[in-house]
Amino acid sequence: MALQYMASPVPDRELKKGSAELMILALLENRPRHGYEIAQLIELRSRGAIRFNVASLYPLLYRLEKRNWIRGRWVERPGQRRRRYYRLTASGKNVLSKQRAGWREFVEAINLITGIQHA
Amino acid sequence: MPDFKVEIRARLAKIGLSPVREAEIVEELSQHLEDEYEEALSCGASEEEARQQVIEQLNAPDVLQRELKHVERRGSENPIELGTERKINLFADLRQDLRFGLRTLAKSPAFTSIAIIALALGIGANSAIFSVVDAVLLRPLPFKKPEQLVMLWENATHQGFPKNTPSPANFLDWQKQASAFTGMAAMVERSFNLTGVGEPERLDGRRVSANLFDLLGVRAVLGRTFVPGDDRPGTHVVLLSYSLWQRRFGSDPSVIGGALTLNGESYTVIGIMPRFVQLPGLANRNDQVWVPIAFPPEEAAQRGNHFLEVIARLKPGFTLKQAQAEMDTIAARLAQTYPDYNTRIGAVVVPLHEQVVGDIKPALLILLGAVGFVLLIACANVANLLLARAAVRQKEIALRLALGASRSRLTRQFLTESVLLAVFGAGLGLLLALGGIRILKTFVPATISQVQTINIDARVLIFTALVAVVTGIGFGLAPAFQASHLNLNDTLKEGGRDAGGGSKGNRLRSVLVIGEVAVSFVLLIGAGLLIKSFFHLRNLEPGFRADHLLTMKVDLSEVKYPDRERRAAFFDEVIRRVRALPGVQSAAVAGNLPLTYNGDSMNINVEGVPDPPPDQRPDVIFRAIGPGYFGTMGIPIIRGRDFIDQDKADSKNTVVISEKTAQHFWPGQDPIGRRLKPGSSTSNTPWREVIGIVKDVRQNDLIAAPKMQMYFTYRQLKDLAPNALVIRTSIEPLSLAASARDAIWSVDKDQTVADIDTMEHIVAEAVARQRFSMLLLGLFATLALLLASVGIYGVMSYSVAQRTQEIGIRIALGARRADVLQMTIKQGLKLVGAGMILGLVAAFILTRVLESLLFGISATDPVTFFGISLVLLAVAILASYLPALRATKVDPIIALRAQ
Repeated sequence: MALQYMASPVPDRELKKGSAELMILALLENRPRHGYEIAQLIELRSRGAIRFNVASLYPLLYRLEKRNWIRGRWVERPGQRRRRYYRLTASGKNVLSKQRAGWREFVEAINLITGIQHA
Repeated sequence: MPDFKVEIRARLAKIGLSPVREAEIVEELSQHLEDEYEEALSCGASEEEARQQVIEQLNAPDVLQRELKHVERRGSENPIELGTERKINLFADLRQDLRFGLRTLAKSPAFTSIAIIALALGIGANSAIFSVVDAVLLRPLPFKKPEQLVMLWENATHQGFPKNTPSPANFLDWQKQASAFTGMAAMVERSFNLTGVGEPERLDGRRVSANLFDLLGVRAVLGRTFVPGDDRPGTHVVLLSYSLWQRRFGSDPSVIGGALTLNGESYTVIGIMPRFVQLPGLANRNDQVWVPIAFPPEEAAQRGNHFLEVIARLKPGFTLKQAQAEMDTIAARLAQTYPDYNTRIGAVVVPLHEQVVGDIKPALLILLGAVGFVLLIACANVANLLLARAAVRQKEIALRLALGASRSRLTRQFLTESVLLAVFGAGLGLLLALGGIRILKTFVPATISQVQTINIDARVLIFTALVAVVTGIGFGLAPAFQASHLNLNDTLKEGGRDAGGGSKGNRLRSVLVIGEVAVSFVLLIGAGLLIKSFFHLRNLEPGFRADHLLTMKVDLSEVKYPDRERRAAFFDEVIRRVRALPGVQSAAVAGNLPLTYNGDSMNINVEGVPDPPPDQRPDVIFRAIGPGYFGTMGIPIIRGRDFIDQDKADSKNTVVISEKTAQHFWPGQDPIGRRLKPGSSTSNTPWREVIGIVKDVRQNDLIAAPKMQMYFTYRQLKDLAPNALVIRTSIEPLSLAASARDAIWSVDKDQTVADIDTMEHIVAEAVARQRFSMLLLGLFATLALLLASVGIYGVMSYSVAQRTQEIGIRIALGARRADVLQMTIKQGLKLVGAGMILGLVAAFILTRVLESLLFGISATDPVTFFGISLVLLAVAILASYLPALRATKVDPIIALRAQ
């Protein structure tokens, strides 16, 4: 079943929110993308396991923008309608690398405790 | 394709986003939904299925609203960041305004630097003058309850002395009879020769009543001040100034109780006074020692000898008026009791503060007014620049208004920019003021005692900050108001065209320039009047030739040179040695050089003429001099002869009189050979024969008309010794200072030599106050003229730029360049003309305040008014000529194509 990133009761919510932030930052690491593209990529790369809903994706993007981790800009390309592209800021890069490390430790710790092994 | 925008908007409605933000979000989200819709279609869903699937995302209960509200309204979860919450965060707005303002200013460095420099000049001048006004006028005198302190003078207006120094007997009577004062103290200047410790030194000092320091509330920092009883004759105690104690005694506390040789007599040091104690009085001397004034019986009885300065403290509850009334009564009583001396002699009570600052006050207030004017002009200039910029920024402003900025928000933004400018201006201005004060200090006449305390202190800083904020708001208001009252519709409709300032803006700018011209005209007239009157002063004949004269004070010790023979022997030898120096043409001894001393006058009786009544006895200034004095000073002898070495104690008593004295006593006759004597006909002083008549000399004061004078040779005087040496040189006078001093020391190594100066400098110092006002007002007027011409230039340039197309059309239609030139200059002159008419009226009214500072011309001197008008006109023509020239170079093709 696809995980719906929608409102869910705490504590699940905080965990998901944290992981959602990490995913978005990671996707923007190499180049700017617009919201639809981000949503598509998340669904694609999680092989459909994770899906973002408009109502939660954009508020999250705006929040990240407000924290100055990403910056959105309207870009017009010939023959296309204008789109808002988001790119990672310097402080966003910083946060990304910290969050990555944090998640790695967290996942390893979970693995150690639960005995889940990589196949 | 369904319209998702409506759906989204409906869900956002409750959040209350700004229209702009809402539009952005709607656009972004609807794009996303459209993409998903198309994707669903491509996956084979029907249109309705696809629509349902997409809309579904929005329907999760309240998710979008809640999440967005969270982000958009409450801001981020980061630490509170200023600037994110519209209504609450005034400081955030301010910070944003400041940042925006700084960026805007940085974007136009030329505008910003011109504005800052103009403001710095205006604000700096204000801070500098305020620092002087504060130190001199506003700060209380450094005494206990200074508002109670007064000075008391004899009023001898009928003799030309409205504030005369009281005589000892009168002072003692005042002291006994007056009840309005808690105390009354006398002082008199005295020089002391300090010997016995290192080089001999002449020290300025005073004899003062024992109660003086108690009266003033000044205590010794070490030891004690005088106590009652210290002023008994024969008590030899002395107080030292802090600087003397530091300089000569290395701040050694054991000096208290030690002995000091002053004027050949031994004094016991009883106390050290605080660092900055300066007694008020006629002359501003840097007193180094104070001794008690003891009135021996013969001095205490003197009623005709006026030399004291008297300070008193009003009893609490007594007004100045009551004190004056009581002193009037006492003076009337004394006049009755001693008609010979006190007929028509009154008493005046003057508040100490007025006494100290009275002379300089009008000049300082006028200068403060002048710098205020300069600042006004600077503000008008910057306002003009801002107006022109606001016109250029109209599109930006219109856009911001259209996007939802409130007008008050815009006004605040504009004011922030102008206050920023003012603050930078003030910063630079303070630096200018610092330098200015250093220069000012050298120009402030030495007679202003508080000159040393002039500095940039907290009070000046607060003043500057206030001025900066007020001027910032002042010159920012007009442009801000104009900008925020822009008609959006019109401005945006004009599209890409440079929307010019509109006629309203032009009018405002013109009014500002007219104001600038008017104000600078007033300042220029004021400066012109002062400059002209200063030249009048400098062209006054002092009665002697001031060039190539070296002077020095040589006060003989009464102990070492008690009689005229010993004095004569000393001076003869000094003169002989000095005359032998290369570069010396002649040398003579003098008693009190012209313009250095205000006293020494007496009544005289002329042989064969009955004594006039006491109050009509003419007062004649007298000086004790040596042979060769007239020749050395360059005072022309009109008739008769100079004193010679043979005029001695045992020969016939002689006198040389001035022209005015001759005319007064012997009108139409030859006074040579006639006789006069000091005092009345019954006095037992010997008759003196007039042997010569010399030209009148301005003895006391360069400005007042010379009074009657007479000269004695000191060899025929028992008690009066010369105290100065004057040397006429063929080379630069000061280059002889050292060798002349050495010549004196070669005769007496303990003799003090002081105040080495040139006569030219003494004359210049006599008009120092006038020079001070003239220089400063001249400087400020020049500044005003400069700023005003920049203003005219700016407005004309702007107007030419605006009218480029019109001028292009005119040229295309056949206007000659000369016509265009004329048209443009005419436009400039119209403004200047209007300003000058206004300024003329204002000057007629305002220059009256200058009257007390003027000499030899009236406050409405037509020549000055006319001359200044020409200067201003010339500058105005030049300032509008340059833009006009640019106008003639307009290429019609380019100008029209620009359309």
